Amino acid sequence: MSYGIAELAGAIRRGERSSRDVIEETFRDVKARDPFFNTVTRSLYDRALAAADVTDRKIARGEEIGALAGVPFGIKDLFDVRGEVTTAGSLVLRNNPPAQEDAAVVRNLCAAGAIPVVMTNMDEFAYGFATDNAHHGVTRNPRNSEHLAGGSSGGSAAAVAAGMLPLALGSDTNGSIRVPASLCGIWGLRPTQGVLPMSGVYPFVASLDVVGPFTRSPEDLRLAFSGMAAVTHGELPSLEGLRVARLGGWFKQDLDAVLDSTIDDLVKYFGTSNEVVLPEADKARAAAFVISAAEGGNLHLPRLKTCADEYDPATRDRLIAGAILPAAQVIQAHRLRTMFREQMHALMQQYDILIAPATLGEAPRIDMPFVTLNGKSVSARANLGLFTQPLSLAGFPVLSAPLRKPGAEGLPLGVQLIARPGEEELLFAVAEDLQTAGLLGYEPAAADGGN
Amino acid sequence: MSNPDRVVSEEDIRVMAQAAGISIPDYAMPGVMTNTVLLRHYMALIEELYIPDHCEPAFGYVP
Repeated sequence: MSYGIAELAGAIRRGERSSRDVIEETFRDVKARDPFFNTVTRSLYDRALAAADVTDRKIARGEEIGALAGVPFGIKDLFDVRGEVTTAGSLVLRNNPPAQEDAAVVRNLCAAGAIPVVMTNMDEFAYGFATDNAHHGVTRNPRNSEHLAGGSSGGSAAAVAAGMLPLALGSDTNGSIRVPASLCGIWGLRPTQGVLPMSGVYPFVASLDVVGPFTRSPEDLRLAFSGMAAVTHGELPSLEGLRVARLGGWFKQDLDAVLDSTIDDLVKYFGTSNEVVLPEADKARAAAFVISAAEGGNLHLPRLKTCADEYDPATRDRLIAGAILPAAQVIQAHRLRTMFREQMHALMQQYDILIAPATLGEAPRIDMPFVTLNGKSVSARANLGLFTQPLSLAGFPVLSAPLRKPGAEGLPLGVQLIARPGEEELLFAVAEDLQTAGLLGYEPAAADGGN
Repeated sequence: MSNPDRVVSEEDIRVMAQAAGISIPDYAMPGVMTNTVLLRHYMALIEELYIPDHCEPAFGYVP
């Protein structure tokens, strides 16, 4: 399934392919190749085929169909799907009753004609950047299966990168869309906080959680976002007079050399060499860390008292540490958030787009899940979000884009394009422009296995 | 202000956990300790920043 959303929806709409044919091919592909990558936790086979038949009947009768009619998509294991237990990648919730209805964004996509086909792997309760799940196993990076896919929405990202799905949904609290999109060489969007409905999404940190799509092109990302938001967008905004800068300071530390020089190239493309420092980015990351630990710990406190041993031990210990944090420091973190948001707005009065790396470099190896920070080897699971976490605190929209140029090991590198709240359309315009210019859009030399 | 260099003892953690109603088994203590030390470091970072009294928490509640 190497088709993009627009191409596939067009072929189905014109009757060149039936929706059933597309869905059956998707399941054959997943069955044959997913054992290699471990992206899928559950199949929605019966529902998907029934939906495909409805689409085909509508087309045969000449009835109106949605913009995404027949497009298969994957869903991270923390979205409600009608008739399925929402487990959030854990055994802890396995005895909950099945969801009565789909999460709101799933409903919106289905209303546009898209068809959910599988649910995807994640770090337990979204607490991690690796997609190494104690119950479902590790998801492998389709660009090189010896490397991590990133997380926590790694199953969705890897399924799209492997070409098994044209669209998958993730959630992003501290970078859980942007990190795996970057490491897998695809496109991901963390929308403005609050712009997409969170109804039916199992929370991790309600103060920071958002949901968003993964796709293989910026055009598809825009289609997916429109579908999730149930809105129709017009023409993309003009880039005339666009003011662009790269983020320095915190966002240049320990950076991969190719990534560093290519970000300069991106800024130069817009005729400038602006570099600005976002004040207190280190403290913004610290505040995001503290808020996440405290809210996550609070959410799980009742179960930590009664069934702590059913959690992945690494998740359990992080949640307990968060549950016993003093309130004063958590409130201080929320006050710092107010201050940081104001600093972001002040900076974005001078610039329309900011560019920052998404991660330090290429995907770490699964057997060596570490990144180097200040000369020290530290846990990838906890630190891959070094550059994404401060921006989560601000809540501004961020598009994670793969560079055309790979890293030294041939694996993808990614950047974050940041705009003012509500300006997702500007992000799509910039992303498409940089793709056309040959600077963005990872092109793998050869897919790794499973083909 | 939190002092990130101050050693956190198991006793400290057990007292805090008890206040929250959590009993920490011995085998979980090393992991909880590691995470508590890390969070103490981050708490110290955010506490060292001066924040004006009128800068309110960003809880985001809109009635």
